[in-house]
Amino acid sequence: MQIEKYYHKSDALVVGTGLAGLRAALALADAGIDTITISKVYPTRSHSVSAQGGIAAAIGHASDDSTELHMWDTVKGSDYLGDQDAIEMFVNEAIKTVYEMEHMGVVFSRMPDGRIAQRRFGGHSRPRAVYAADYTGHVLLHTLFEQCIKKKVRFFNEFFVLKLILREDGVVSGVVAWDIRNGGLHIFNAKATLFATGGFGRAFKITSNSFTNTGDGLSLVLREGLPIEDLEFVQFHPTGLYRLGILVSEAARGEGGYLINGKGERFMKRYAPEKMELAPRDVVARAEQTEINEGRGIDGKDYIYLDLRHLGAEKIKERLPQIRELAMNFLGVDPIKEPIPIQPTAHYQMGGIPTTKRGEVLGDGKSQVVPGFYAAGEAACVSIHGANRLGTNSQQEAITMGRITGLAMAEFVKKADLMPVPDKAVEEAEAHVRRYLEGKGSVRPFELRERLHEIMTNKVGIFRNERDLTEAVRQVRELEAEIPNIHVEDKGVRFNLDLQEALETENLLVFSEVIAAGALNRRESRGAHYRVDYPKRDDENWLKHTLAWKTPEGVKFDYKPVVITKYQPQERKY
Amino acid sequence: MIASKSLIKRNRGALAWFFQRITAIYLFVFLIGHFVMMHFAGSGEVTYETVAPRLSSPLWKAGDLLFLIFALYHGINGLWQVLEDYVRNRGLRLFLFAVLLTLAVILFTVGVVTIFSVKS
Amino acid sequence: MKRKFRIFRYQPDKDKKPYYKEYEIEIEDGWTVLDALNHIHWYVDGTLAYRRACRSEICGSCAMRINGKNRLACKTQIKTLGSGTIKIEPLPGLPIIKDMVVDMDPFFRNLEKVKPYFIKYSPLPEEEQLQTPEERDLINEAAMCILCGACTTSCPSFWANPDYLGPAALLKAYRFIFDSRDEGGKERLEIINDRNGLWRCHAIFNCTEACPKNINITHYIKKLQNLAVNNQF
Repeated sequence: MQIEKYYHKSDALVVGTGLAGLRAALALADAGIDTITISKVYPTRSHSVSAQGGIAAAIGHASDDSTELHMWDTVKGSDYLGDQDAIEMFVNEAIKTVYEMEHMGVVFSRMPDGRIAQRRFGGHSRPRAVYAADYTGHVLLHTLFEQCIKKKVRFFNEFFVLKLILREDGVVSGVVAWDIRNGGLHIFNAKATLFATGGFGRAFKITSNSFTNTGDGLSLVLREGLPIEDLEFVQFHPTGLYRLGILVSEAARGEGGYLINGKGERFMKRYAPEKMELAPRDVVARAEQTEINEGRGIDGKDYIYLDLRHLGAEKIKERLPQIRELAMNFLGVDPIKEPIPIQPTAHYQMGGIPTTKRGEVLGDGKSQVVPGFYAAGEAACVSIHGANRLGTNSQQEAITMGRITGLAMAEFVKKADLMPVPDKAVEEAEAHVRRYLEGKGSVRPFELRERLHEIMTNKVGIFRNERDLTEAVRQVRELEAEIPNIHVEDKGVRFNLDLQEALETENLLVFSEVIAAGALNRRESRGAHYRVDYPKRDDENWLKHTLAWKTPEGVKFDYKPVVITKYQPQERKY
Repeated sequence: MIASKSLIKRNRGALAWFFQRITAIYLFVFLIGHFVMMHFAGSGEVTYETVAPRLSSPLWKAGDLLFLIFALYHGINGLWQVLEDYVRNRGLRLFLFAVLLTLAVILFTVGVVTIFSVKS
Repeated sequence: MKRKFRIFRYQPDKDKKPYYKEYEIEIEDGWTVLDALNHIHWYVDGTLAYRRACRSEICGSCAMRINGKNRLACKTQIKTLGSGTIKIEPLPGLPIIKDMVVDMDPFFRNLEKVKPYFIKYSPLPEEEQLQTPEERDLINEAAMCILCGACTTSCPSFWANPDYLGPAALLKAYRFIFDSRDEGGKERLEIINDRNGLWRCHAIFNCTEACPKNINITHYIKKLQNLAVNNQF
């Protein structure tokens, strides 16, 4: 089979067109840098579009808010694993980000006097979420897309990255990608490459994430022998539609919604007497799962109720129109009249590709920068969210870090040379695709994926223990061993969905071992990572970031200290 | 937002759109008038003696001529829009437009002759 | 329950012409058309191609023609489609890449023509530009567009005239022209005041009927037409 090759050169290359990728592309275009973006979907299909509730910034329109309070809430929310220097920078830049997005035309919801409105969100001590009803991510993403059109960013849509080009001298000089639409290998050679590739929710059975969230960036990085940070911290969102996992925004609770168990109680009073439903997500998700596990789900089943009825029809229609529509369409439940059946859903990865505060990827995870390689958004770990992210901080991080990273890249490309792509990298990428298009296996991609879902959901979920995790690591490695045996039914090169699913499944399997092994390794409970056998936080031994490398023998670990500036760890109560 | 009137370049499409609505209003009013005249006003008798003097008045002739022009414009323009939506072949489109135009000219001629040939 | 699906299949560089293939599968209560397509792709026929991402009615990937109507596959509950065979085809009026996958580039190119971005010439304030909830309400619904293409590809005027900007691009123009903060209204109005812009819309209402976000697109196009006429005569 003939596989055509195409070469593209640019100063900057952005992989992923969600909020982080597009904001970086815009910063680069503004600086006059020739920029290419590649994405496996059209930009407006990126998962950022699904974000609902809001974007955090201490602009203090609805309270006496301050950046200090935002920082304190984020540090406490992170269970003290967030790097405080990064968080401090983040909360200050956040304000600028909101006004800047407004200046680009975002239709934020307003107060009667015309200023931007704000609402409450879990873990935030003040109403801090700037929002556009319950489709904030949608308007933010579309606005950035529009601005990129204005600035004539070069889009390569529907390209799947097969390989990160990490040269032997340690410099990254682009990627090799597969043209999903027409087939063919495209070599994108650039001075600076950004991974804004998003999260990994699709490793789990019940997830709020798009089909596209298969952690591709993580696996591309791991394959090149680079480390990943804190991947064991998986956020489970407390309110996913029952059995589907589709997100019901935390804004529902921010506006005053109740969580109700099978006995009709607002059970959060036992877990977070002060904050109740607005405790951070790790606390609420664990509370829900405890209720369910102890038989107090609705009718003893594995779901509970999110009750919005007391908010009234008007408020629901004005502030939460999308989730009403979703509940009605998918579950046949109108939140104005009935409570919504919900359950925790895999939502967000706190960890990711380790970077500096400027988005530069750290080759050793600690201090050594990989020249020409950057990461931002959910794919990166700065680490702002530590062990648990607060709602509305992720959209904020994506845009803020997108901008900061874009600027850092612009600075870098002005003095860097374009380094050629080694032939070997292209050959490897080609062999990778050929293996699927020409080979014959016996296991279908989805079979492997379903088996992975069972393992990750049952053994690496909200409650974890030594035995399950040991088993999970072993089982994921077994699945990984089956990768060469994956059978792709479609042998064509045009929009080969089967090929894409095989590649994605492979990616899921590569990083999933790191989640499970990291969770097994971390013998404490912190933020979203809860070990039944080590239920206490252990600052003496574990107040540190995990760095993980893939090796043929298994996952190899190292650690780095948490940056603590203003706030010493203390007991976390809500 | 366009707050105050800010003149933009004229477009034939806009003119056609606008005129379609103006003619529609005229047709509507004219037909109501016709209906009232025929069924409610006057004796209700339709004979040469009652109709001929009416039709021969210059004012009436002017109104009829306007009706002729507007009705033809409205109909032909409407048909043309429909053809543009459903006929994709350029040649066929041109041919059909020529047919429409010819039809319009014939109908106009017949109409003018009819209006001006009535004498009391 | 078993349901039959009659699915459009076409790979332009392989097949001489499109054909339909029937699949009968066991479906579960609450399944959407997207669930069925996934099931077919995963368990029955791996060569089937279609787009999907969020599966929650917001990304706009999975617009396709289901039983003759443009809809989002992820939003369409199978139980609302009666009991007969369910026919699935690509969006009409766009080049086919494979099966239900159409080339959306012409659609996005039309969008780009209307300057689909916020324009401001006067200096920006340090903080936000003020906008009252009432001013925002004018564009709230229009800003909800997910660019799925269901509207434009349901419009007979677009089928016959691929140069027609189409409802989605016009809606985007509306979203900015009626934004109290935007200053590019006049230049945008100049662009859409064209035979292949505003004046190609004959109020057929197919776009409004097709919109999965229930946006009254025709209404907004009419508002633009009135504005354009008021500003040139």
